[in-house]
Amino acid sequence: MSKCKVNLSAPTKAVEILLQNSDLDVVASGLGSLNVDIDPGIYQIQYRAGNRMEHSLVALRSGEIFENHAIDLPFATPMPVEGTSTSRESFRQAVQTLSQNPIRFPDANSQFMLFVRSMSESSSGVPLRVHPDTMRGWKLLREDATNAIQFHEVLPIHGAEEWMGFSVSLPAGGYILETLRGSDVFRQSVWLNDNWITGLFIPNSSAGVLPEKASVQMSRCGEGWQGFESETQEVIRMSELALIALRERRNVLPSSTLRQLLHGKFLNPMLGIIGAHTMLLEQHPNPQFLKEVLNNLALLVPGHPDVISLQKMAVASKLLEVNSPSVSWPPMLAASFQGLLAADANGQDAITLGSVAETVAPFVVHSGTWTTWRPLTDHKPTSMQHGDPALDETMQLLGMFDFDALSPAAGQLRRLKRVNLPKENSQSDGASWQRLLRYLQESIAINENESILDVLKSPSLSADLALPRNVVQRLVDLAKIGIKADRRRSGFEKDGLRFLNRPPEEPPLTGSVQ
Amino acid sequence: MSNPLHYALVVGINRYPGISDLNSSLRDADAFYDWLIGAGGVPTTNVQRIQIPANLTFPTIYDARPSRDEVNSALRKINAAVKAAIKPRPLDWQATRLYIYVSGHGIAPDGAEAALLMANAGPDAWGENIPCAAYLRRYEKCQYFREVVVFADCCRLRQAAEFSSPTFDTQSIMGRVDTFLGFATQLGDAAYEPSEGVSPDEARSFFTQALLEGLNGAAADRTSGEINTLTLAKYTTERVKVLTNKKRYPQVPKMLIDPAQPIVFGNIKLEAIPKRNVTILFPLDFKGQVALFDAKLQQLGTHNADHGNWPLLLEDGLYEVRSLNAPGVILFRGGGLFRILGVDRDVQM
Repeated sequence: MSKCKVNLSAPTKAVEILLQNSDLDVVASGLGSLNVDIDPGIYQIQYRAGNRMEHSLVALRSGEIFENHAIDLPFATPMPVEGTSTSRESFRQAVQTLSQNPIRFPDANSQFMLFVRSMSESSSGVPLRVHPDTMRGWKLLREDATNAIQFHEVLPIHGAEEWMGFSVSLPAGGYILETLRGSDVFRQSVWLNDNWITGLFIPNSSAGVLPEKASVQMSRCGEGWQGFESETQEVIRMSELALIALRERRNVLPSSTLRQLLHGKFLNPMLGIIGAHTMLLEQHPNPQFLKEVLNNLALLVPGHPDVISLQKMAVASKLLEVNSPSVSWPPMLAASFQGLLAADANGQDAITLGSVAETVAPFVVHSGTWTTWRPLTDHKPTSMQHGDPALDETMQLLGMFDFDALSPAAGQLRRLKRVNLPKENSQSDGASWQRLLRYLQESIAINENESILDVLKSPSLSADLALPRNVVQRLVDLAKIGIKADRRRSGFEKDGLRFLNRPPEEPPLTGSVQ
Repeated sequence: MSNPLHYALVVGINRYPGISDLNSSLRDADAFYDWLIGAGGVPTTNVQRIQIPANLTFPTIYDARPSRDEVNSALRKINAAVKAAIKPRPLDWQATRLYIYVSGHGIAPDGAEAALLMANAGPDAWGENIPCAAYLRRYEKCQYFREVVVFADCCRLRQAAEFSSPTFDTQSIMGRVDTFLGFATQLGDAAYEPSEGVSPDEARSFFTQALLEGLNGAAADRTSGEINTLTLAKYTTERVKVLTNKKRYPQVPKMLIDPAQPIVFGNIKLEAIPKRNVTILFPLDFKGQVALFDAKLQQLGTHNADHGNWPLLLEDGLYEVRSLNAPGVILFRGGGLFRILGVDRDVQM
């Protein structure tokens, strides 16, 4: 009985192919192609690309060959590249026109482009219409939160073609995309580099415009959009699949395609950023190759927070030894920011003290591919906290009670809940403080014999809280002062309970105690 | 067989005043509990159940139960119990296992997480959740149990939220912890519960249905009868896909598993491996002899289609029906190839 052959390949190389036997064991797998010799039998072949999945059965008798070199799984992507399921030539033409005709501002060497298109049909099968009202209230803000662009003022609509968009030249640097979902306001990081267009491609669906599913790509300024040449479209399709997989922390790119993606960074540095993230998901990334990729990216888009974050992540993974500056602006990809926080918690000086990246950390919400946070003024606490009238009243009533007499840890926590952060501490520190209090509350609820000071000494505190080390250190110092302050008070016992005397003069504190 | 050092937390939530109610989470949790104390061998005293009756009303969304605190308290009790149980004989740690089963609404920040929304969650408090992977990782670090198995039958919709880590402290170093994590869906997808054609009393979420079928024998290895994390992951994943293939987007469970360290749930006798009633239906104009082949292409039997349909009793697997009148000629739909998985079915040739 001789072996059989299975030879499969997909023009869209990032198709995952699995060959399973009757017991559902995976007997062979490949990315983009699969060439194996197998025993005769009946097999199931599974194909997957993005959100599409198909399967078929095949029976192979002794010596038979099964071939398919036209595996085609059209999948939808926010960027209207050819070969995806909802793309049209008119979309690509519109992107070209927008990229070549930006609204111009003085001293602006970089460009931001927004393109929204329908990627799905209504339940009746009619293509969904785009409407500017779906983006009412959307803004691009500068670092100081002043308006750079109000979308509804600059958004040309092409309802018949189901797209809308604009392009604007702006000074390089960090910007904030402010979006509305219902009444909720969200902010997303945008970074613009000199001489590059940063294009944000957002899908429109029956659920509305979905920034969390957006695709971000780049192209050189003044040359029109370079992503639609036949040789680059394939790479863009790969990057879209890599981006979907990145959300699931999977690597779906075969090494040859990954190299293609990384090579594409010279025309579109975002490909390199996505590719470098994909490399870090590999079991054994090649450190030398990674170094080369990151060095080139640093030259192409100097100061890009995602590139610096990748350098920090590579150092944290012990793949590289490079000195890179700390990051001030939140990286665009959520994976970059998570990696940056982990590197910071790991001991690297990864996040600049007092920077926007540090300030937004306690407000970050997990919402898809991109770094997203709630505005500082919009933060909604998720548990009862200081500032709640009911809690404050209780605190006043209990203010004289020596909680240490009840349970040392619970008493310490009660005292911390009464600490007012000094005025010089930011609203961001306030949110971080609440996160710390909640963590402490849960810690002592589970480990009743543990003291708050023990929890505060935990080396994983910064990682557990997903907050920068500097912020955590500030709050830990404050907490220690808060705990020690009450210890200095004298007390008395009454009815079997211990109460504290209020001292005639409170000692000066960094954090005051009510 | 009783496993005195196996413990479990079972959480089912139907009532969500701040979101929308579910139908089958409590029943799913009941069904999983039944398996735990039955074939699972977990003593009833070792199971913490958090199942608030569906008819209980709450004055406000903030009072809705269960909350995170209840889950953390239950886990705290379990941690204390196992600690006390192995104190006289520390080597018994090798036999410890924790099951965590949760069913309800869910959200996810990324591909490696699924968080059960607690009853007091809502648009102003998505942070009221239990991130299952984070809890599993913490148990891995704390080493309260030798094995930790987590099943999360909930959606993994992308929702902006905070995901708070658990706060268990590190135990003394006991040894390597093996883990298994089963999510009902891939990231961003819904986990369905049946809405039609099923009696409400019998309805199970598809993931829990497949999971229990697997644990009760359908996921047994064909040669050894062992049901372990590997066989369960394979069976549940494929079975849920089949159960939801009529949906707009089929539900695809995600299993995070260490193939080198399978966790064993049980063994069944080979003759107890379930068989399905299958009927092969032939095209109206088809006449003559056919043969049935198994996945290794061994002929299992023949049938004269002139006599009508062909009733069979088959194990789960891949099969082929071929015409013996014209071997090599494809006469049947799908080339005569078909798959049986978890259910009786008619197969149209």
